Order: sequence, then C-alpha cells, then structure tokens
Amino acid sequence: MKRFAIHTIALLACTLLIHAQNDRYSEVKPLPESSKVTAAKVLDHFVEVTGGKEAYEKLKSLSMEAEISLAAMNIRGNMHLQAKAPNRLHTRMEIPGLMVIEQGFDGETGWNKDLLGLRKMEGVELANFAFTADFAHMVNWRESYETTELMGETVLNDSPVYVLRLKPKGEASEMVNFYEQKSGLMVRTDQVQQTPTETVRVETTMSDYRDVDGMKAPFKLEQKLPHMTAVTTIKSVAYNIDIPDALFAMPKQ
Amino acid sequence: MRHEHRRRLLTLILTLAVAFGLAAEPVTEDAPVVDRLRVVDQIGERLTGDMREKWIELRREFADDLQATEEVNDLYNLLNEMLERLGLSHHMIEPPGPEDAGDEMPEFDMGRGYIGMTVQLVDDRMLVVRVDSESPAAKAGIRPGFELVSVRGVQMREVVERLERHPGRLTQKRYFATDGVSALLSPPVGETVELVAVDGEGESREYVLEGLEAPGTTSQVGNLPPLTVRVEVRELDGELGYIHLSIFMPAVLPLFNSAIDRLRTKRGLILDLRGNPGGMGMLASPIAGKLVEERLSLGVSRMPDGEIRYPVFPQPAPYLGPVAILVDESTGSTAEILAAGLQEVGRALVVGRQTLGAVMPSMIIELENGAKLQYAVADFVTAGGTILEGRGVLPDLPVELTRDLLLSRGDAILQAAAAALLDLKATNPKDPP
Repeated sequence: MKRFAIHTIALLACTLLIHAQNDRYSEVKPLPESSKVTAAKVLDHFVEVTGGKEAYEKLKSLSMEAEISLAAMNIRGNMHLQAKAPNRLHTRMEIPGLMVIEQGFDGETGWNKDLLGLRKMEGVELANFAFTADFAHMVNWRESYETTELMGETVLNDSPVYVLRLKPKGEASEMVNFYEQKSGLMVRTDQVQQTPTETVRVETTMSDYRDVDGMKAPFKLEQKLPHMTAVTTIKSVAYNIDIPDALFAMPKQ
Repeated sequence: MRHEHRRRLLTLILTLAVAFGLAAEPVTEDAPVVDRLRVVDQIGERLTGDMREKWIELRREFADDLQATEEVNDLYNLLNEMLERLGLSHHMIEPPGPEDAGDEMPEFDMGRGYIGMTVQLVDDRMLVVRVDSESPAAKAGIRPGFELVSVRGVQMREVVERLERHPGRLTQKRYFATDGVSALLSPPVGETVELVAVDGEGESREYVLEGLEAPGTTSQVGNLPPLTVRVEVRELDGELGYIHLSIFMPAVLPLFNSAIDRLRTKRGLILDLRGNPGGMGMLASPIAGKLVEERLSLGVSRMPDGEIRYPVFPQPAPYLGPVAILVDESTGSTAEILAAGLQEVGRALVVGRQTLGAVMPSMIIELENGAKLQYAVADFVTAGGTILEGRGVLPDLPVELTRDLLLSRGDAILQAAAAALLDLKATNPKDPP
C-alpha cells in the first residue's frame, strides 16, 4: 500500500512536470523551412565562440570560486568548484550557520555529503553529475548526446535565441538550452534535477561572459527554482592548476 | 521554517488583543499604508492554484476595509485575517519596521526572558503543565497543575472565552492559548512579569518572576529572527535517556548526535518534541537517521514544479533501542514530520496530545515595502499517504491532562512514556513498542 501511494505520487509529479515542460516552450517558433541552421551548427558555433576546440582540449583542470545569494531569503554563501580531466569533479558549497554541501565524482563513484550524511549517488543524479564532470562533453557533443533537436527560436531579453533540446546518452536528464543568435553564447539552460531529496525544474540563466585565458565563461548564473532564485557570481577562475586526485574520492565519513 | 517569536507576537495580537481591547500604540508610517493594495497583490503572486483564486475573492471582499485602514497595525491585522481565511498553516505577514514588533506594544513589553514554565489550555483553564527545575518559576514554588488566573493583569478567563469563540480546531485553540500566553509570560531579560495563580491547595497567590537569559544558544538564519536553540539531555532513573529539542535549526544536529552517543546504552530513549514549533524541514531526516538502521522515507512535499522528499539515511552509530516521542498541541511542522514518519514505520511510540497539524513547508521573504511574508510552497504527505495538515499526529498513547493529574504526578506525559518504555520486554529495534 505504501509503495503504491509513493508510486502514485511520483507518477503524478512526473505527469505534472511533463505537462508544465510542454507548455513552457509554447513561445518557441519553428525556424522557416529555408533556414540552414541546424542543432549541429549551433553547438559547433558555441564551442567556437567560447574558445574553440583546441582551447577546450588544452583544458586539463579548473578551479572556480563563487558567491551564492538567495536575496529574497537573505541567505548568502560561497562555493568552490574544482575539476580535472577527463572527468573528475568536486564542489563545496557553504552557507555559514546553515549548511555545507560537498559533492564529488572520481570517474566512477559520485558522492554527496550534507546534513543528511554521506551517501553514494545513484541513477539519474549520478548520471547528471558524471555528465557535468566530463570535460569533453561540450567539445565532443556528438558523442555525448543521444539526440539533439533544434526546437526553433524565440526571444530572451530582447535578443533572438535558438532553442535546442538535448538528451545526453544514458540516464542523464534532458535539457533545453538557449543560444543567443548574435553571439552564439548559451544564455539559458533548463533541466529537471532529480536527487533523493527533490525533483525540481531548474532554469539557469547565464550572463556576464568574460575571457579567461582565451576561453569565455559566464560570470553570473541565475538559477530559478520553484519559489526561489539563487544568484551565483563567479569571483575567480583558474585553468590548468594542480589538483590532487584524492579530492575527488569519496571520503570515509 | 517557522517564525517563532514573531508568530507568537502576531498570534497574541490576533487572538487576544481584540478581546481585551488592548490599544496598541498606533504606528503611523505613511509608506506601507499607501502601498496597501500592492502588498495584497504581492501576496497573491506567491499563491498558486485555488489559493490564488481564493485570494482574489478575499481581495474583493476586504478591499474597502483595506483602503480604510490608516494605521500599519490595522492593515497588517487585516492582511493576517485574510491569510487565516485561506485555511492553511504557515501563512502570515508582519509589517516592516523594528526588529521586535513588541516595541510597538509597550503595554506588553514582551521580550525573550525565560521564566521556565509552560502553560496549556486544559479543561477550559490555563494550567501550568511543566516547570523547569532551577528556573525562576520553580524557585518561586510554582508547580504543574497550578491554574493561571492572570498575567500582567490579563485575565486568563477572558482568553479562554475568546478562544471558545474562535472557529479553529481544538488543537489550534490549544496552540493559540499556549503561544499567546507564553508571549505574555516572556518579559525582556532582566525585567519581571507579574502573575496570579491558584496553587494545589486552592489558594490564589501572586508571583513576580524575573526573566532570565534563556538557556541554550541563539541561532539566526536568513530572514528568521534570532531563535533560541535548546537541546536538553538527561538520564531518567538511570535507565532511560531523555532529549528535548526546542526547535529544528542546524545548531541542534551536533548536540543531538552527542546526546545519542551519551545515551547509547540506555534501555529506552524519550525524544521530547513538545513545544517544538518546527524549523528547517530538512533536519528531520538526519535526526531520524540517528534512530534507524535502514533507509526510509518520512514523506514528500509536492509543488506544481516538482517535489521535495524527506529520505532518511541511516547515520553512523545510531541508537537502536525503543524510542518514545512526546508531543502536544505546540508540536508543529518539522517536529510533526519527524514524529509521524517514525510512528508510521513503527520505530517510535508517540505519547501525549494531538499535534498542531501545520506541516506545510514555507518560506519567508521580504516584500517591496519591507514587510515579511511567510507563505507555504508545498503540501506534505507521509510515506504512507497521510496528509498531516489540519490533522496532526495522533498519539499511540494519548494522555489527557487534568488539574488533579498534574498536581499529583507532575509531567504526566513524560511519566506515561517512561512507564511504557520500561514495560517493554524486548529492546529489539525491529520490534518497536
């Protein structure tokens, strides 16, 4: 009975989410038949304008420090992301007096440590984290995605954008990305995040792209979650620095 | 999250002030009143589905009254009345202005002073149900079962009459009574509160109690006011462990974990959630994780755009003996989620009085004019499918309090739980009480 109840709730939630997703993109118009734009061209152009294939391939590690703000709730914190090729990732977010969330992926095992304790990631959560950790997922997008669909175009902040629906291979969640037609830069990505504690749709807007060692990176990310918005402001980015492998391994406690 | 102190003040204002005609000093700040309908609309923007429709109807119904308000207190009392009409917990608003709304009510001069006694509505009377040892109340000779007659000149009989006319559920009335009178009983630290109580012999006595710094630590997160976090840990007759959690804030967790380490060898554990109004919902999970050896779910909160789940992951070195959880009408929100979740899987025996039934996860945000709005963002359903909102947790072992029982036995709920745990022959956590 309990299982049935949980299953029903989960099913209902998924149905609502799918329904909401479809409605959300009703303003996206298909491109005219004469258009020569394709999903492949948009993705290749994005790689090119953010540094180019060669620059991506030279990237072996990354360290990024940022401030996080949930202004409406008067909550602030900081985050440190460290990553290493080919697919190692570690993030640590601290909101003083409230919580510390640490996550890692060592190429095989994904883990999460927070108020609920230390646990291994599984399923969709693991697949999404591993996908993010993959250094080559953008430059080698042809291998990373199972399907790429050019949904059409719309306007964001008075600027025309192409809208792509991308499904990574494996269990990782589908995403809908928005690429500015003028600059080729990705300005928004929507994805349903699924972890043991939540299933939520997150809409992330990127802005303030800056050059760092020949690569362009957004220095401001605004994440709209249900009933709250988190703003991440990048304070520093460093490429190709030494990061010990031990950082990515799952701790014992 | 709960907005404990301000909630108390507002509850008091809403449920008591009218009854006693307590004329709060008018606050006449122009800007917030001028923006009155904008505030109404901003609240509406935060509501979803049927609630938004209902809010639009309420806006229509209250429009004239809202426009007629000239003072901030009147405007916000009306707004809170409208929010109450939604029929859901965790919806309230407080005006912009001084940190402590008590500053606006000099007649009460309410503060955070601690006198160490808890009162509840029992058989239409306000009775002392618990007195902390070594507290000002205990030192003055106040004992469980004493009947409160008046506090600062406010007659408890009138409070009870007012509550009888309130349309809410019994548990809500009980909660309002405790919450409102507790605020009256909290003078600023270092100042005194005068009260009259009838003792066990039927004698009416006057007491003047000084408000001390409350035991525990102060915790402040985001838009919440500073909250006192207290984790009381003790042994009962050497055989049982006792932990009282005053609220669910992050500072509680390391203290709770240490308490479990200290009490690990005890034959049974009593987790006292009476008077615990909730706090951060996510903290129910790691607390439960210290009491189980298998993964389980406490429930789920559903939102239009997703859901928040309350999974429990077993934590290192848990306590696996029998557990009793004490509850009453002041047990709300996160405390109810924890109690219901452990009760549902048979991990804990719930003892006491029916809980508040206010479990909707909420947020507190600042509106454009500086007013603070608390609003629910989701519902909550236990893993077994029970909706706790408006129902609360029903104890496995209900304890109906009476004045005689309190006078003769003191903390009758605690004693009932202790007796139940000591009666258990098996201590196998898989065969819970």
